[in-house]
Order: sequence, then structure tokens, then C-alpha cells
Amino acid sequence: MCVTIVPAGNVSEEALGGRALEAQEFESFFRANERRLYGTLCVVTGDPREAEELMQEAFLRVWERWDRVSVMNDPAAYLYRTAFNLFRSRLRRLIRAARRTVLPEPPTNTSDQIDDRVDLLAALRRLSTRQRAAVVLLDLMDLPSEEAGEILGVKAVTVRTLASQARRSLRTRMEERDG
Amino acid sequence: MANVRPTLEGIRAQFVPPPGGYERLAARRERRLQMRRLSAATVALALSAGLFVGLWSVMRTPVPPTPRPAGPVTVWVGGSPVDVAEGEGSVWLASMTDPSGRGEVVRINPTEGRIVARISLREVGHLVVGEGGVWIANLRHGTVTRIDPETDKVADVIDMPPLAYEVAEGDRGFLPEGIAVGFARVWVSTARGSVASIDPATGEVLEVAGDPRVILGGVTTGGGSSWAWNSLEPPEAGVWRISPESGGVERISVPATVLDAAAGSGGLYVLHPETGDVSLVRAVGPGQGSTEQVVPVGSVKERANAIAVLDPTVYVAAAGGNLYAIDEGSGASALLTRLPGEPTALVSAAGALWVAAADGTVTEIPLESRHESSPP
Repeated sequence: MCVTIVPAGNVSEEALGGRALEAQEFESFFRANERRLYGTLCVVTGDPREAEELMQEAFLRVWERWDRVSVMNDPAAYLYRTAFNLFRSRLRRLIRAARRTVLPEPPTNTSDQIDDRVDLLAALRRLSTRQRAAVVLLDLMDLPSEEAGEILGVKAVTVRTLASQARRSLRTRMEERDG
Repeated sequence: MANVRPTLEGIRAQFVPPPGGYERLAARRERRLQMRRLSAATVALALSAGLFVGLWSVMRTPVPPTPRPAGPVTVWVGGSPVDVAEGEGSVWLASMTDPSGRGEVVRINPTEGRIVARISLREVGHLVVGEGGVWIANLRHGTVTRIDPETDKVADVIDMPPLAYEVAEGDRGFLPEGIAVGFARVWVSTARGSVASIDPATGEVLEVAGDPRVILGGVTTGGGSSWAWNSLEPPEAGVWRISPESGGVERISVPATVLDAAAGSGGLYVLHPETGDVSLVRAVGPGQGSTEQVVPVGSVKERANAIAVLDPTVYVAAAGGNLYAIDEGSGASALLTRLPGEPTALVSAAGALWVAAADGTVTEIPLESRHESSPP
């Protein structure tokens, strides 16, 4: 076994170059995933401030393990898992957020596609935090219910039930609109 | 609409993160690294000091203990501090050690600045001391725990009764969050819009006020009333003044969202987190116009997390770690000190302020210390 001893306080130029490269890599990763993760967390939490805080903390934790995460098959999946684990652990604040959803105000554009979003936005406001999280994990992130259950700390069947309740609520809303 | 995915994607795309996210992240990482280096240095220093003291005590006859140095003293307790309170001659800190909510209540001797007891709980939350106990709100379990300060052990776990209304189909759970003592009762609030009071002698719970449309942020007592504040945006932002005798509720609007509040002799001081402004809700009698009851006190002009009052001074902990004093008479604010961690809670005790921070510390700030400088 070959061991290289680097004197304390004497960091080589190679090591410094490696760190700079690592920082560049991470910054690219951040910029590539920032908007999508932020949007996902906004939909789930209903609170842009909460979403920003969760996103920052999730990225920070990934950065601290970047040497290991960067060589994974899908670093973004690790990032999302970290963010949702944090989401789960911040239940105290989320209970408040669940009842003061501040999803964006409906846009004034009246095209069919936008109408659809406006109605769904209103319907999303009526869902519980867990229902929103379940439908986002299953339908937006395409995770299997077992993995979603692991993230939310509930059984897979509970996730499916929550997502089903959420979809039913969303569909009812849309049917009401369509008359 | 068989498939909700395209529309969910459309909604997600509407959210644009605030600019400068990476720069904020880099700054946050640097702060955390600094804290870790500081902690490591502190541990090393403590070990060295312990060794030195051990050798010294062997070589010398005992000498009287050296008085504590003046200035801030930080006690590292670990976990994620949720709340800090004072009473029974101690400072008490609730700190979460596990994402499930599990944690411990840490008892600190304020004159020596050392931990004297650690009590493990299956869940920690906001806490308060008085009426013969240390009371902890357990949000997830729907209970309130009482620790006996004589034994430092859990003496009671009180189940909160169902709410008078449903917040969702079949869901009437009272999830306690805010907690206060006063008027021979323990006052408990839930974000689900209700305040209850507990008889500390019997554990009997009485729902005092409830409104399912309101999200309550917390509860406190002082200035002759019990108070609860909501977490709503204007024009719904406001506080409830609850008569301890009749349970009657007076609703008072405030100019901005409230994050934290503290009662003083003049009424309730509420903290508006976005701007760092403080308003005073005066404890005037019912029947007066609400606009006359709320007056601006001052501002720290930065995002703030917590407030405490020691008449005639209001103390505000800013999210970035700055701790300010606001003179109620003049409205002038002055920077007391800068803390390394993000403050989460604030309490005054034994002529000092105790600030719990997200980095697992609680810091004592002696109030006689000179103000460092004035903010812009």
C-alpha cells in the first residue's frame, strides 16, 4: 500500500487545481438543476421561501459529499432524495406552509393551456402537503411508490392512496370546470 | 384530464428561483466550514485546558474558582435548537437530535454557564417554564409533556383533545406548537387555528378560541393578557388578545406578517421578519379601534428571526446572526453583538439574553455589555 504524506498546511498546487475543478463541476451541476428542483419544491411545499431554504440545504449537503456524489450514476437523483428527506424532517414548518399555500397567482392569459394550469393550481391549493408530495413524486418525478414511500416515511400503499386522492381531487376540479 | 403531468410540469415551470442562488450557497458553505473549524478548535482547546487543569490541580493546592469572564459565553449543546426558555433558576433548551422530532431538553445553570441535565424526549418542540413544570409542545404526537424541575424527569404527557372543527375530512387533530404560561394556566396554540389552556394542577384542557381560517404562529402571556399571533399575510395578519378571565377574544390587525412576539408591560411586541420591523400592540380595553392599538417601535432593517423584551428594551435576533437592542422610547436600534450561527430563539434571564442558534449552540449575552455599533 502506498501512502503519500502531505505536510499539514502545505497544500500542493495539484490539490488546489483539483478543488477548483471540483468547484467548477459542482457549480455546473447547481446551475443545471437549480430551477427544476426549486419548481418541484415550490409545488410540493406551496411556499417559495421554504422551497429556497430546502433547496439551498440540499445542494449544500450534496456539495459536502461531492467527491462521492459526482461519481454516482445519477447525482440529480441523490440531490432530489436529499431535498425530500429534508422536506420530511421539516414537518413542523411544513404544517404551517400546508395551510398558507402561496402558490403563484393565476396568470391573466386565457389560452386553454393556461386555463388548465390555473384550475390545477387552484386544485393544488386544496390538497394536503402529503397529497401534493405524493402526486409530485409519482407523477412528476416518475418514482416507484416504494421509493416515494421511503422518502416520505410512509408505506408504498399509503403513497399510492395519497396520490390517488390527489388525482381524484384534481380531476373533479377539472370536470367541474368542463361542466 | 387523465394525465396531470403536463400541467404539473407547466406549474413547476412558473417558479423561477431568486437570482444569486449559487453565491448564497457558497457563502453558506463557507460559514458552515468556519463553524466546524471553530468547533474543532474549541474541542481541542477544551481538551488541552482540561489536561492543564488536571495537572495543575495535582501539583497545587486547590484555589478558589476563577470568576467567569465578562462578555458572551457560548454553550454547545448539539442537535438543532428549537426553543429556549428560562425559569426555576435555569435556562432550558429544546434541541432536536433526529429528523423524526426526537431530541432532548438541556438544562443549563446560567450563573456557571454549564449543562446540568439532559432529558431525552421522543419529540421536542417549543417549551416554556412555570406553574411547576417545564412544558413542551409535541406537534407530531398531539401532546404536551411536563418535566418536573425537581427531578429533571418527565412527570406527565397530556393528550390534547380534538379541535372543535375539522381541518380536513375526519381530521380534528390539535397539533400543539406554541406554548406559554400565565394566569395559573398553560396556554397552547396550534397552527390549525386554535388556542387551548391547561390546568397545570389537573391536566384538564379547555379550548379557549378557535378559527379554522387562521394559521396561528404562537402564543404568549403578559401585559394582563394572553396573546396569540397568526402567520397570515396582510390584510389578515393579526393577533388575538385573549382575556384570561372570560376567554373573550379581541382580534387586532397588524401591518405585516408576524414571525415571533414577546409580551412586555405595555402590550405585545410583534416581529415582522421580512423587514425586521417591530410593532407594539397596546393592551387597551376592548371597543377601541384596532388601528389605534398598533404602533411602530423600531426596526433592525434586516431579516429577523426572534424577539425578546426586557422593559424598556426590545431585543431582536436577525437571521444573519446580528443581535440588536431597540430602545422603545426613541425607536433607535443598536447592534449588541454578532453571533456565528443563525439564531432560532431568544429569551432573557438573570440579566442576560440567551440565544439559541441553528448550529447547536446557546449563547449568553450579558446585557450590561456595551453596544458594539449602530446599524446603518
